[in-house]
Amino acid sequence: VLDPLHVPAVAPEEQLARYIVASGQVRADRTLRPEAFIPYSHVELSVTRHLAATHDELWQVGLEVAAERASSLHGRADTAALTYISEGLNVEAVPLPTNSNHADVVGWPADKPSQKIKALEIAKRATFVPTPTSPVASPSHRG
Amino acid sequence: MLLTEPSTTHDTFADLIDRTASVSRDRLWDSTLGHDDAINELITVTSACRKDDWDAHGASAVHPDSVTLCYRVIKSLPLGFPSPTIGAEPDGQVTLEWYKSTSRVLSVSVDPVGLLHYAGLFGRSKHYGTITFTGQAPDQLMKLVQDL
Repeated sequence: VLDPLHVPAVAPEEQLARYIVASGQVRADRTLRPEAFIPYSHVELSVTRHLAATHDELWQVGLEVAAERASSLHGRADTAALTYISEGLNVEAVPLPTNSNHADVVGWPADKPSQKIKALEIAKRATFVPTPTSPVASPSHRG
Repeated sequence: MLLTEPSTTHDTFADLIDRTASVSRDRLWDSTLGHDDAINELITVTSACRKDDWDAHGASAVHPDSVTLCYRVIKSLPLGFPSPTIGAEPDGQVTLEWYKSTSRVLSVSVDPVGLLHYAGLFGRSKHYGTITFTGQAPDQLMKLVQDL
């Protein structure tokens, strides 16, 4: 992971992960529903940068996020920072004590329909990567 | 047999017709023309998102009024109309989704006060806005679904 004392700005080509704890945010065909990208309760969307993180480190962050809430990690939604930027949003490096690769997607409009259309566009370009042992590997819900 | 006998001697012919029509509607709802799958999914989503932080990112529990209104929206859809799938958003609003592909999809958030916030991708075009739900399936919503 990144050295917390030397965290670079987020580059457009960087891959970002949004951890998926709610299985209903993934359709049966393994595409992502826009709900996974709606910012709340803050006005920023929390993501984790792939930069300098190993495969295991990236999953470990997600597992810790889920474990804090006694939930299961179903997978992650990967997309380039450019996807957010092309929707008029910004991605800011916001390292946390527990995750130096943490970043926030900011600049969201206040009204719900405008948030939703951006979330749909982002979901269209995102790739769902199931947790290696995730039950989402065999989805039973419709969609 | 769909016709039912009058339950009391005070039943009017109109009451009998109403009851018979209701039985017919219920049977159609139970058939593949109805939206029972959507109702069942609404129950599942409500259960899964009944507590705060259900998404591990700070989500609010689904709002009871949003659930009730979502039920009414589903019940207002004509028989045989495409059924939505159900989801939830982190602000506690229940969502309806009509999905063909990631480029042809309509998502509707059911606001607890009766507003339907929608956004849809229709190939190369996109539409988003807000519709007021008054108890009947909104024409604008029906057209959006049909345009997918």
